[in-house]
Amino acid sequence: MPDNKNPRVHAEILPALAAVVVPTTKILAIGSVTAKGTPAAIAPVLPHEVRATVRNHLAGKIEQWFFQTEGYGVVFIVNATSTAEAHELLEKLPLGVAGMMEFELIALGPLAPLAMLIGEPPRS
Amino acid sequence: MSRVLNKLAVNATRLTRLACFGALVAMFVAISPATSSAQSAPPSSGLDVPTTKLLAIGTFTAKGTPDQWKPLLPSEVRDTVLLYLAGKIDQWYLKQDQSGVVFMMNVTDPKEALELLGRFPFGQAGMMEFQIIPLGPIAPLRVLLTEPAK
Repeated sequence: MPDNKNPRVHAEILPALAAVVVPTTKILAIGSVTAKGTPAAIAPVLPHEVRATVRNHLAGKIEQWFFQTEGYGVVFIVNATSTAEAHELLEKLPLGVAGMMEFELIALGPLAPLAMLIGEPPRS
Repeated sequence: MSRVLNKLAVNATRLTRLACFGALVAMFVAISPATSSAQSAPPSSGLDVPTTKLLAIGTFTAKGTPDQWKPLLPSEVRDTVLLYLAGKIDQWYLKQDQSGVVFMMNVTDPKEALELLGRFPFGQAGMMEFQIIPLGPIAPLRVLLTEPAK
């Protein structure tokens, strides 16, 4: 079951795919700078933000990290099994504590429809 | 940097973009050597990283009801696997709220990604739309290079 409401959902599509249940294995975290994140406010925090992020990577929590080359935010793929777990991790980052960065969290799992390809192998 | 500024100018009407611009300037200042103003620093010393991946977030549209997409799903899955085998899809995930999929793509041009994904049955039928977010190396890591280890 989803543990947050995705603002992009337009259709009610829950029942049909519900038959294939996959675990939540990763959390996609899309980080954007808030209005509070002015240049003067961010500059002194950034060195701490980077170090905290690297520490999370070394701890195996932030598995992949990217910079948005057009949006000037970040994208992380986090090793967590719920958005709550990822939220707890990311809200402790300095920019998050200062209210200067917000994360949209999307729970991800294995690509369940691949199950359609698993039938009995053809007999030779 | 001028490329960046041009892009930002196009979107400058949006407050969020302005906020992002502020953040860019802040990071740029923070990363640049503390000698002169940020404007005199070479662009490559800031947050100018290449786009190396695209994040593609696919979401069912209002047309994408189960009755509509179910018959197309087998073809959709096969097309997805073929695009993976072609080296274009690097990672694939299902969104746990069942609203669609997330792909990490080995493509750097958003137009190419939308064109590739638009050929899928769901895209052809207008039942799924993709948001593309261009990604590159985690640029702020450059902060760590400014202080030599002691």
